[in-house]
Amino acid sequence: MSCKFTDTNVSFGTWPWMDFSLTTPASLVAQLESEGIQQAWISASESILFPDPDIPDERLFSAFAPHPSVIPVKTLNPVLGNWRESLELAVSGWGARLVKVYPNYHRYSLIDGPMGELATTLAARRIPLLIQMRVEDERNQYPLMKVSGVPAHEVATLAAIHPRLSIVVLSAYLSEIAVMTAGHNNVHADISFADSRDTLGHLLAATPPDNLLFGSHTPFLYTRSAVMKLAAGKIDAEPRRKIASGNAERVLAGATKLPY
Amino acid sequence: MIIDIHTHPRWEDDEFLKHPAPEQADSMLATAARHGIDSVCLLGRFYPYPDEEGIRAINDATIGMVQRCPERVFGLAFLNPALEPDFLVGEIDRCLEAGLSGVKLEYEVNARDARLDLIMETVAARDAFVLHHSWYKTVQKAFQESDPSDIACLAARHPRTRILMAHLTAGGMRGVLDIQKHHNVSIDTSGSQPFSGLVEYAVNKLGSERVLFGSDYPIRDFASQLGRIEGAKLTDLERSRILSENAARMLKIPIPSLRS
Repeated sequence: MSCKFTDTNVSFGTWPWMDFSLTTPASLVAQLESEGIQQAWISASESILFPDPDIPDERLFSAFAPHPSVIPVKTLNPVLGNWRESLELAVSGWGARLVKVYPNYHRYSLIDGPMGELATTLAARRIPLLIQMRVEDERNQYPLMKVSGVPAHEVATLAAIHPRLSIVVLSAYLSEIAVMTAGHNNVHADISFADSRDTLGHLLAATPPDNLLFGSHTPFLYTRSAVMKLAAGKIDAEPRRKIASGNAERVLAGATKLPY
Repeated sequence: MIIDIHTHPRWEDDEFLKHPAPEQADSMLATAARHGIDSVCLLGRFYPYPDEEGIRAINDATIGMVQRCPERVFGLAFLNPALEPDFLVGEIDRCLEAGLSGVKLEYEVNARDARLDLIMETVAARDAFVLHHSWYKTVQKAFQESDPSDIACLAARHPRTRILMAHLTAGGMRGVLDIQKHHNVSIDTSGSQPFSGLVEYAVNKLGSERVLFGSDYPIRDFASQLGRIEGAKLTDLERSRILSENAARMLKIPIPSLRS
């Protein structure tokens, strides 16, 4: 398959329980390019656990500035008192076009509390919201750090409350993707954690191809697995192209078409 | 030549299971071949705590699929160690005589339990092998479910019995270290999403002769699971051992005949 990919689910940095070999921006970009990935949405893995995400995020945006194929992703924690200033700094100062949240690690609900104002703000500014459903298989987590996945029904509710908010869910299981995308055209899901016999067939039985995105969850997962999963799927060329890159381009373009 | 040492019949599809075993074998081989997989080893249609009648039914189905294409479909006898010893030995002999290659144990009885001893001794006497489920679970752990330290205990009690511990990703680095000194234990690469680095780690700690490709199809996608081998940083020799030669040795298949 000669598809070019936009990888919507990539991290850079470290994770306490894994030994990532891609330790420099150049090595990560080279690895992604070797797999046919022409654009990658990359967030800072340290921003998941670090108290102030702005610190690792500033390093991320600076480190990947020389790499035009990378769209750095700003991690926001709306529980923090400065999230509005943090968003403004990232958008106006660093040129951020995408925002990612980790409601399970940062311990808040998507359907009440500070998420409502953040969702309204992002929808008004046409900034897509990336929701990382999980970074690990919950069964394999360190026993003193059990973090459940983000509840899929909360994503569906958020999507219904904010129909103009573009939502991208990352690392969701097959069954969750069906729940979150049903009736919600503003929800897109990546394929990184969807894994079953005939993954693409199962996904497309419940979700239109326009709502699926290529995502590898590199470097947590082997990049090649997502590439091979999409390549092996029994689907026509056009929906394959949409999943590989077309839908992601559309989501990202939506972020910049309208003035802030 | 690729051999998948860890597969199941399509147990999740009741309609499919109504088809005769030969048709199921044909379908599975066709799907595997589409992914470049030449041979599969079936571990049975698992469900918890089967009785003698259930065990015979599971194994009859596996035998039916193996006998349809004995050059490409291999199988293991599923056993519940809680059942009567005479039945267990008789079932091992019945299944091996019918063409199966070893025994599969799940989580009905923990690997430290003395009720496994007769099975292990019988399997060693028949020069077959035991594939044992294993998982370090933080959540969702089944009663009596074995983890890699339990498998290490079993291996120490039965150093003459060849053991294949399932689910590399589920045991993680700790699981690899648990079995490192037990040279009668190998590991298959199945389990969970294709988390990166673990295949290379297992090869480094155990040697590439003790790592076997397994997908856990149909729970998982052949493509994503193959991706963790194809995407790992391995030499051609290491990859060849993992994808075919080690499984051929475990199944006692002459590799040259497989390549013909």
